[in-house]
Amino acid sequence: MTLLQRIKSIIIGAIMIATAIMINVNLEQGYIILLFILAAGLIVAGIGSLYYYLSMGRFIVGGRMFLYRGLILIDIGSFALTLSDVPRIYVLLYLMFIHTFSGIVEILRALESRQYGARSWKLKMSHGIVNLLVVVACFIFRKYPETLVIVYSLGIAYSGVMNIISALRKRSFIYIQ
Amino acid sequence: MQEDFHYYATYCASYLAGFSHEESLDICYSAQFVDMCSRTFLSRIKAPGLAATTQLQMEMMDTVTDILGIQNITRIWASFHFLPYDLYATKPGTTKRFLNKYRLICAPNGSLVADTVKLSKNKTLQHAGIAMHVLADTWAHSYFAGTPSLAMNNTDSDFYEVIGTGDEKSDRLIKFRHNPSVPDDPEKGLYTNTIYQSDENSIMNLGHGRAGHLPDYSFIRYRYLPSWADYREILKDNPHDYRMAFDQMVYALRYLRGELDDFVTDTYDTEKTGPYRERIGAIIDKRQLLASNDWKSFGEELSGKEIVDFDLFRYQDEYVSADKDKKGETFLGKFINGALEQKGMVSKAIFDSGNILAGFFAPVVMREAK
Amino acid sequence: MHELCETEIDTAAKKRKHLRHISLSGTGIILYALWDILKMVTSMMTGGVEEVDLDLLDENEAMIAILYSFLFWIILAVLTVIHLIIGYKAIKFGKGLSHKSGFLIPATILGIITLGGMPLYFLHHTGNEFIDYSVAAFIMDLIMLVIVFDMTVSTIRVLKIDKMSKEQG
Repeated sequence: MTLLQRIKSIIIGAIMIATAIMINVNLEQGYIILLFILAAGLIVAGIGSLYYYLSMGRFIVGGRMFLYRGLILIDIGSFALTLSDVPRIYVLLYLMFIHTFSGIVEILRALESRQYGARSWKLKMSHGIVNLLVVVACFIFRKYPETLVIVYSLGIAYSGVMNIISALRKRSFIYIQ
Repeated sequence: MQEDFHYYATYCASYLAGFSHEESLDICYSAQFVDMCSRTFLSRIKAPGLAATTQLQMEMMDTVTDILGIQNITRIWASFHFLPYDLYATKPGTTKRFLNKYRLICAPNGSLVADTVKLSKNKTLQHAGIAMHVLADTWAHSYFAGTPSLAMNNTDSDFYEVIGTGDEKSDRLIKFRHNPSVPDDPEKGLYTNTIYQSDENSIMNLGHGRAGHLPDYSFIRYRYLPSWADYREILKDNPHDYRMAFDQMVYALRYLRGELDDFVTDTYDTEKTGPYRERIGAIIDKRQLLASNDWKSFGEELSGKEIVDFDLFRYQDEYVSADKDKKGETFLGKFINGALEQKGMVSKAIFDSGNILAGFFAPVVMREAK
Repeated sequence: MHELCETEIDTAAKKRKHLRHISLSGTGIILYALWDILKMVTSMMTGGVEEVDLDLLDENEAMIAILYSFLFWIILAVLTVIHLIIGYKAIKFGKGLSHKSGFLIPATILGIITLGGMPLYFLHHTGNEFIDYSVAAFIMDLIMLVIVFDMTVSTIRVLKIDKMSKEQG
């Protein structure tokens, strides 16, 4: 990583830890914050996909997929916002679904990285496993919404800490001829 | 291309161009070394990392592909392995962002090829070797770009091997898998490629990963849909391209040796290679993943001398033990100088064309190896 | 093998592009059907769908309510299956595994039904009530319409190209 990349990674990690703390300060409203974060993430991803379609995707084979993906992500993100006035359990079910998906993707990426000999596969794998553990914990504590929020925020804090560790790690390579 | 062409075939081309056995060995070693000179290797011998001509897979997997990472990657891969064909290409109706990457697409006989060869004129054999690597790769790596880009380097499942010629031509669907530990199987049409990544800047979208090693196999002809080609199919005829690459290398090396006054693109030496047309054709056409043995035999027949196998660490001690002010005179020192010049030339050309993918500012004057 | 001239290459490229779009649209329609189910289930779980208290109705009214409910689910199931079939057939057509373009007719009908149903999202809401859920569902239906329209246009273009090719022999 370059110095700038390390700084960026540390800042993102710090923001995630701060978010986790903030969520825990007011557990009652914690899930609302989570929902907004998730919705914002989806909407931003959707806008990103739309931007990619407009700047690159429309000129390439299969590029239309990015248009549809962008629109759908924005819509799912907007839909997530509409859940703010419903019982928490359904909100958390929605969050669990997103985390299951993201955990599986992370594990698949870790396996692929390992095949290519990258040492970062362990980090990716642990990230994916933590995602899935969060889902499992959410299921176990499903009757205790406030516990759920704590578990979930621990997951965010873990991601933040991993970001910082990754940024501060020294890079050493084993050369294989 | 692989070691079979960069090392052994380059030796053959050098010898045919009139270089001696020892000179040919230096040239072909340098040509192959371009594929091995990573930042990791250079740091071991305490040489400038800026002279890296390749990146190991492990280095790349750990790379963050933000704009700075992309620029670093592009400077290396566009300079040595995917020399851009036309830095001023236009495509109506597209955006600047798309054009920046489109202009990095590699193909043979671009103006940068001539610049690369001429840059090596009256310089060392190491410079010549680097130039031959770059020139050869423009043929093999055509239609891909030396920058991480889904838009430029993606392909899809419509990949067919063209088997046979003339009226007996037929297509066979190429089946890709994503397991780099299993060798490719040309008989069954099973090859490894990188997995699809929808992130534009993913490292998996660098170069010809989505086509696997197909561009590096001299025997294969295939047709596929490049991402950028408006749904037009490309027919990649490797046997033809490898023959052209060889003939052009001989021509370029004759120019570098001083036998010819100028190097002009789209010119090939058939005079020196003519007597060996069939022999060369047989090597290129043979369905094998690596043709090193065949090229080596051919080279040893030409020179009557043994071609030592490539050894990555052959010149390491010479460089490490040399005094600081004498490092530039060592084999690796000369190679490093050549690499820095090539990288600087190409990066500057990309920058001058208004493309920021090789850097935000005019490249700093490269440090010379001492 | 016959070597193609420039025009033929262009035509082949265009056809390839449209076929890809049809295939993608087919996938989109299938995902839309699954999304519709998810939306309905989520709405029911979160109280978005009005429930009728059968205890407040007499026997006849209760029977009618049950019948309506039953019909509602049947129609939903049928519509979902139709979506899935259209999507499947479109994917087959797009991949060149089928040359039957009959899926366009039910697709167009569904598109018209979707278009007709879109204003209903907002008719329930009056005054200052925030219509966030309706907006989200409205946008998804709009995307569905775009997909169906794209699929229709692409299919017609492919059929035209095929017709021209046949005429030219």
